[in-house]
Order: sequence, then C-alpha cells, then structure tokens
Amino acid sequence: MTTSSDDTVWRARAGDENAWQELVRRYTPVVWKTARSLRLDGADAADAVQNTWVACAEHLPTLRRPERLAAWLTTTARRESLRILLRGRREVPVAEVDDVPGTGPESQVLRADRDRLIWAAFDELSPRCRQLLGLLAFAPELTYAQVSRAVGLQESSVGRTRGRCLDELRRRLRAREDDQE
Amino acid sequence: MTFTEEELRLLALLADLLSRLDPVPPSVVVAAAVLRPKKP
Repeated sequence: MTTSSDDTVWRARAGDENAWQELVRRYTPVVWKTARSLRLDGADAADAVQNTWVACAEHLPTLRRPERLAAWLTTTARRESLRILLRGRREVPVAEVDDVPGTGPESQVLRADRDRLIWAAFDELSPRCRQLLGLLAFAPELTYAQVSRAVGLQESSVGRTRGRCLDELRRRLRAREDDQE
Repeated sequence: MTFTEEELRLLALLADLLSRLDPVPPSVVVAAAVLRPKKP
C-alpha cells in the first residue's frame, strides 16, 4: 500500500469520517470481487461485503498492522463469504454466475470487440485463474503473502500460478485475435 | 508484487471489464460508508 493510503487508514482509525469513506470507496470493489469470486450471488455478496466492513469498523482501531488493511479485508471477505456459502442460503449454481449475459443491460457492455475478446479469453480460464486474476486486476499492489491468504494458495505457488494464468490469458487472447483476422 | 507494464495494462483492461459487468451496487457502498469505526 502507498503512504497516502496508510495515512488514510490512520486517519480513519482516529475517527476521521472522510477517511473512512475513502477506504470504503477504494476497497469495496476488492471486497466485492473476493465475494463474487467465491460464487456468491449478488444478495449474498452484498451481505459478505457488509459483514466485512462491520468487522472492519469494529477492529480497525485495534488492528496490529493497519498498513495491511487491504490484505485484512480480502481475508475477512473470503472468510465471510465462505461462512455464507456454508450456511447454504441462496447458493446458486455455478453456471448461473458464470454465464455470459446475453440480454439486458450487461449485454450492452459486451458490444465492443475488445470486451468480447477479453471476456471470452477470461471465461475460458480455470476457476483458480479467474479468481486470482480477478483479484489482482483490482488490487495489483497486494503482496504474495496477502494474495496467498486471500485466495487460499500456498505463498510459494502464487508467483508461478500468476505467471501461468497470465500466459494462458495472453495465449487465448492471441488465438481469438488470430481467428478474427 | 511487481508486474511488467504489459501485465498491468492487461490487468487494467480486465478490471475495467469486470467492474462494468459486475459493478458493486451503490447501495452496498453507501451502507458500508455509514458505518463508523469505534474510537480507539
């Protein structure tokens, strides 16, 4: 994390409401992505995000290493998401989450060729790669240890898995670009 | 964790796409923002 984000954490910790809102704005996408990567539907993901921030509000003043807030949030979001999944309420089939939307507002987003290429290539990746790259896309500043805790990989495997997933994404993008030519 | 410029561009494209496909509902952000940490 950067120095400025460290300052934000410390200010939020001291009760600065603006700093707290800045943390929420900055890190909610990462928390949301963590919950969605574990295949929670929208309502359950919202619960997981909410529970994560409630826990953060309770524990921020006493966090031993507030400079590691991003990692703490992703780990907490993962734990909250798993707890909700185990509870079993509103669990949805994998296909329902992973399907490329064909109609509705989301389909408009897919009109651009670039978006279609990236989505198709990303969607063909393994669940592990989608989870890892989906997290790194929103939080590339995380350390290997933080990513390890967030996605449940051995720390020694993070670098190798990251490289393999990026290579696979590039390879599939190139193949699709070649198909279009 | 470090990335090459090409990798960061790829991840940025991915983040842009994923955030548009699966945006955080505004209500979730608002609900989280109104929470307040306890005073130390």
